[in-house]
Amino acid sequence: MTFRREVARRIFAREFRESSHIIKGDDRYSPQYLLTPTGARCNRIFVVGTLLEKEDRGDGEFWRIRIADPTGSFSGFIGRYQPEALNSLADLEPPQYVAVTAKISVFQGETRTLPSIRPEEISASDSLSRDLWVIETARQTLNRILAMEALSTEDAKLAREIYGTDTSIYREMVRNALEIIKGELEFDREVEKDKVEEKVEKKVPGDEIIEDLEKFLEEEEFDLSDI
Amino acid sequence: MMDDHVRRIRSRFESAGYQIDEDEIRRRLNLLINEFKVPVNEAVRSVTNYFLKELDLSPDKLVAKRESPEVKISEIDEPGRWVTVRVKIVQLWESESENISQVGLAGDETGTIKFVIWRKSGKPSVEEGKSYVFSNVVTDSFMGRMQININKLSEIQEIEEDIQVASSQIEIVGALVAIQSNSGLITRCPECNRVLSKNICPEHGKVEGVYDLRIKGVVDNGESVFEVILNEENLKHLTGMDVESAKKMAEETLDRSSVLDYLKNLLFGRYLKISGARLGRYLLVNQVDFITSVDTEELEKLLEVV
Repeated sequence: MTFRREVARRIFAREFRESSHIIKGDDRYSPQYLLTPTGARCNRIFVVGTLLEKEDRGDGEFWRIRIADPTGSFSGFIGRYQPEALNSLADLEPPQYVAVTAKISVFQGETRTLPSIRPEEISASDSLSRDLWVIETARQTLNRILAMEALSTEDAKLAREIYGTDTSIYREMVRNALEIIKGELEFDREVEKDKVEEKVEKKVPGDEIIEDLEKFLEEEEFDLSDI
Repeated sequence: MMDDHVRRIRSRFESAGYQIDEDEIRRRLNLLINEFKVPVNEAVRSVTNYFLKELDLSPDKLVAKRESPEVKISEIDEPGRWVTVRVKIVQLWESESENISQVGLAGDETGTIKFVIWRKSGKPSVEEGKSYVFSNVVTDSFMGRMQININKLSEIQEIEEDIQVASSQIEIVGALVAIQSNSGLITRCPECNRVLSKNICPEHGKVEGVYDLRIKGVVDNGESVFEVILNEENLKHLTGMDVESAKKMAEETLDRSSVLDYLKNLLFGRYLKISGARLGRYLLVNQVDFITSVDTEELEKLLEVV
């Protein structure tokens, strides 16, 4: 038995939401995995998306959150057992880009199972990281789809057996996600072009920030010596 | 026959640094073997014990000097062997136990191995980047991996030679998915470089800590995980922050943890490109950069295939 940190898998929200099959270990201490329709076996996931909602469900000690990606949204809960995430959540206000590393938990109801995430850490992010995450998740999802179509891995075979996965649906999901990123990049490029034309006689914005910071630090120092 | 035993006993004491008289050994062995017909090995043992008592030595002193063969790290493949290795300290880790004085990774030109210096061994500290001869260390297997234990009978000797360490250089792109709490602005023991908690070093007691800046974290590409340490140089390159500006921030906010919060904000969940040497779970960072733009070629390729 060796201790190994569980890899954080990359799953789109829609595929995550459609997952219901849990793989349990031999005893109650072995890790649980959620098998997704394209055959990802995940215990932990990493997501960069938009924090849509944070809702206080218990005196600031228990929050329900929702994080969107281009395909849907992840539901999650943050409570006292996720102290780092609970602490970081205080500084976050939706809507905002966030990066999340989360464990997976599954509610098993009478009629259906609902997967949700338990963030270990959540932090402010940016649109670049979101784009990189979508492309990375698209690539890894596509790899799973290809493995499923070729039935080349055990998890792919198992997932097809359980979910009867129609891979064309997930191909379309991946394509749509990529198209959204492509569209945004093209839009950004147009905006950049306009900006460059405006900016000719202006200073680089970065310099101003640094100047401001230096001024701020100088003042702070002055204040301190006064005390 | 008799002379062999005499010589062997003499040389065992000699290599432990003690001269004993050969005639005296011979006389005593002769008495036991030839007069009392005591079996040879019993006689040798008895004579050895006699001299140990005379010199007021503990039996370990002799065992310690038993020469264990010098081996390369790649040759270490079974537990319970006494060996000698010439290694460089690649990385020191935080000790997880009171009983461990130092733990880390040592390497030579054939590979790397975890080493554990037990507190009971009473050995002086080793330093990262320096080379040593570890004599009479015991191989062990822990959680399916080989390691070497430095105990009371082992010896650690620093050497001038700069041992070259084998490693596989890799380049990965992944997200920083975890940052451990013992990151940010930390203090180290000025004697042994250990990370301090409340300015107390487990070995050197209360000390005046030396400030350092680092992030201990996990980079994950969705398929593998890599434990990384970003040092002051890496962090300065990524965020512009160094020990001095971190200290200033801590002073101004009256809170050392504000530095970690600040770095977390800039680094957590960000995609990094790291090149370095892979050593087990660890990736020793050589160069680290942010990914600063989307790979549009990959985007197009994916759209073609999907």
